[in-house]
Amino acid sequence: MKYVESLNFALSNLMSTDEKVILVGEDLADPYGGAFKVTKGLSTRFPDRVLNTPISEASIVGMGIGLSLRGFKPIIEIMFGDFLTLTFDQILNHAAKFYAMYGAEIKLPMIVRTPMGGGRGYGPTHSQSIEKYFLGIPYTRVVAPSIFHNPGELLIDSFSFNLPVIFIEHKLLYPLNLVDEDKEIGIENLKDTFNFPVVKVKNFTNKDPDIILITYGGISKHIFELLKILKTEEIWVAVYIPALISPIKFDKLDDLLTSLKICDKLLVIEDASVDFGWSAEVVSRFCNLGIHIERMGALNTIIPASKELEGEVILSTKKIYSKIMEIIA
Amino acid sequence: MRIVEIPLPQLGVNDTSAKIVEWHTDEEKFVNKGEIICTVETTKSIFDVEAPDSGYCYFLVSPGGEVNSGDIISILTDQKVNKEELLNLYRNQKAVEQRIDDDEIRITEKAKLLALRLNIDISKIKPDNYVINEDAVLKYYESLRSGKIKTDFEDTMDDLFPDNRVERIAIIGAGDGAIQIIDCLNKLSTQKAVMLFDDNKSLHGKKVAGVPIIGNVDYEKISGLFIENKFDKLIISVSTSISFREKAFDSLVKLNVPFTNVIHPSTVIGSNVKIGVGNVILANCHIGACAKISNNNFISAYCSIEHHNELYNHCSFGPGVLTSSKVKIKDRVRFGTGIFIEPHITIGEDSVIGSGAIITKDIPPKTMVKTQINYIMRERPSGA
Repeated sequence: MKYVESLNFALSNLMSTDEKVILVGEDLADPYGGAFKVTKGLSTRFPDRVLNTPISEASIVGMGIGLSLRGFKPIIEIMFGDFLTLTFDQILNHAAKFYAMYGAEIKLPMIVRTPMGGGRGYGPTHSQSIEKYFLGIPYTRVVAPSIFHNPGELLIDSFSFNLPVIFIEHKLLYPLNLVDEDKEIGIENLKDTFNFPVVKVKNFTNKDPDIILITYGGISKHIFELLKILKTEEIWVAVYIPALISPIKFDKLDDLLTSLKICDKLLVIEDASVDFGWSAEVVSRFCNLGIHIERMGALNTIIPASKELEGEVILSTKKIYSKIMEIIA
Repeated sequence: MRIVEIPLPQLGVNDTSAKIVEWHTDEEKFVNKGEIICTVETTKSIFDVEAPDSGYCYFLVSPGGEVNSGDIISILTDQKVNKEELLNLYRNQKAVEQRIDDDEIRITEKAKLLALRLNIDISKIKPDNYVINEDAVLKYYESLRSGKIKTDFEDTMDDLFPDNRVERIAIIGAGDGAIQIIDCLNKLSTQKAVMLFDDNKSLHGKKVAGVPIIGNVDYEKISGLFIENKFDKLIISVSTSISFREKAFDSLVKLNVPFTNVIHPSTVIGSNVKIGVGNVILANCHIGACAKISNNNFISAYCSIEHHNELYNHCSFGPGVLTSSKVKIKDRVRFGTGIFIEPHITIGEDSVIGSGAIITKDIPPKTMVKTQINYIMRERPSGA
C-alpha cells in the first residue's frame, strides 16, 4: 500500500465509523481531491463533512478549534506545510492553551495535516520543513509518519491524545510503497513511553552496528535506499525512527540505549535546515553518554526551485552516505 | 552495426514513471532525428518523445506498458535487420558490458576501513569471487598475527615494500641472542623475522622458532639478498663479541643494507628519546626522557638508561644495568649484569664493566672494572 493510500483509507475509515469527523481545508473536494490527493473520493462519499474553504489558514484552524470544543473531531488540511505559519497564533495561543487553562477539563481533539519537504523543485515557499517551529509547544503533539510506519493508523491514533496534533506528511513519501517487511532490511516495531511506535530498521543480523542513526519522516526514503547500499559495503547501520517527534518520548528506549552501549557513534538526521532544529533537541538527550554524536540537516538557506541547486541545499542519500563514512572512518 | 538507445526521459517533477500511449511510427521504419516516435502519459499530462538520432526504429515496450524514467523504450540502428536477431545481439552486448563491470575486484567500504585500521596492505589479500570483504581482511589479519602467512622465501619475493606492510627482518647470528629477538618480534605486529645467518655450518638448513638459518654471515651475500628484496632490514643478535658486532654493522652499512631496531613492547620509552638503528632493547627496559642512543647496541632485559644519558655505538649490556641521569657511555663498552652507575659519570670507550659494579666516578677508556666480592661458602650443616 502506498503512503497516500494509507492516509486516504484511514480518513475514509474514520469518517464512516465516526460521524463527528469532519475534514476542513482548501480544495479537498472532488474531482481535485486535495493537492496531493489524500482526500480523493471522500467528498463524494461524505458530501456534508468535507468542507472546502477559501484561502484562509488561520480561520480554518480557528474553525477547527471551535468544532473540536463543540464535540467534533476536525481534521484540517493545510495545503503546503509552509503555510502553517499563518495558523501559528491559533495553535500556540489558543489550541494549545485550553487544556491547561481550564484545569484539564477540556478535550481538544484536532489534527492539522500538512505536507512538508522539498525535492520536487517547488521553490522557497513550497518546499520547507518548518515543523521545528511547532515542536516543544506544551499540550500539542507533532506526529510525522515515515514509510516504515502505517500513516493511516497513526492518524487514527492521533485522536487518542485529545489534544491538538500537527501531522507532518513528507511530500516525497506520498507515492511510495510502505515498507513493513524487506528481504535485506530488518524492521522492528518498538514503542515510546506514550505507546507511539518507534521503528527500528537495520541492515545486519548477528553483527554489531558501525553507527546508530535517529531520524524521522521524509528522511526514511533515503534510509531505505541507504541501508541497501551500505549493506553491500558491509557498513552496519541501525536506524531509530520515532513517529511522535514532539514531545520526545523515545530517549529512554531500552533498545536504543543498549545499541548506544555497543556502538558509540550516533548521527541524528532531520530534513529541515539544521540550526536550532529537532536534531539539537535529540542530541541534548544523549550528550551525557560520552559518545561521538553528530547531526545533519539541510543548509541554513532558502530552498531554490532549480533542481540542481535544490539538491545542494536539501539532504540526499548521497550526502547521508558521505557523512556516515566520515564519522566511522 | 551502430545501436542508439532511447531511454524514457524524466517527465516533470511529479512522476518517475509513465505509460506508453502509442508509437507514431511503424516498427523497423527509418525515422529522422527529431521526429516524434511515441507519446507517453504521466499522472499530470501527456508528452511526446523525439528520436535522438536517425535510424531504423525497434520497440522494446508495447503501447499500454508502464516504464520508469531512464528505462530503454526503443533502439535505433543504422541497418535494417531482423528484430529477433537484433534483440539477441543487443542483450549479448549488454551481458558482455555487465561482465566487464563484474570482473573488476570490488573492495567493500568496510574492508577498506578495516585494512586502514589494522595497517594492512589490502592488495595482498586474495579476493573471493571478485570481492574483498570484511571477513577476508579479518582472516588475513589473523593469519598475519598467527604467522600462518609463510615467512620463508616464496612469500618474501615482493616487488615492492609498502610502508604499511610488516617489516621483514634478517637476523645475524642464530644463537641465544637470536631466540630472544625472535621472541620479541613474535609480540610485534609490525615486524617479523624471516631469515637467520650464522657462521656455524652445521646449523644451516635448520630453524630457530620456525625461522630458517640460511647461510654464513657473508656480507656480500646478505647484501645480494637485500637487493633481491628478500628482507627489509637487518639486526645483529650477537651480544658477546663486540668486535664482531662492530665489524658486521660497519661492513653492511657500507654495502647500503639498512638496519632496524627491535624493541620489546614492554619497554618504556620516555619522550624526546633519540634512537639510531641496529639496536636491540629487550623486555622491561626503560629509556628515560631525552636519552640518546646511537647505533648497534644490545640492551638486555631490565636495563634502565636514565634521562639525558648518551649511549654511543656497539655497546652490550647484561640484564639489570641501571644508570642514573646524564651518564655518557662511549663506543664498544661491555657491561656484565647487575650494575649501578651514578649520575654524570662518563665511561670511556672499549671499557668492560664487570657484574655487580657500582660506578661512582668516571671510567677512562680501555679500562676493566672488576668488583671484588668476598663470598663465604661453606657446607650446609647436615639435618638442617
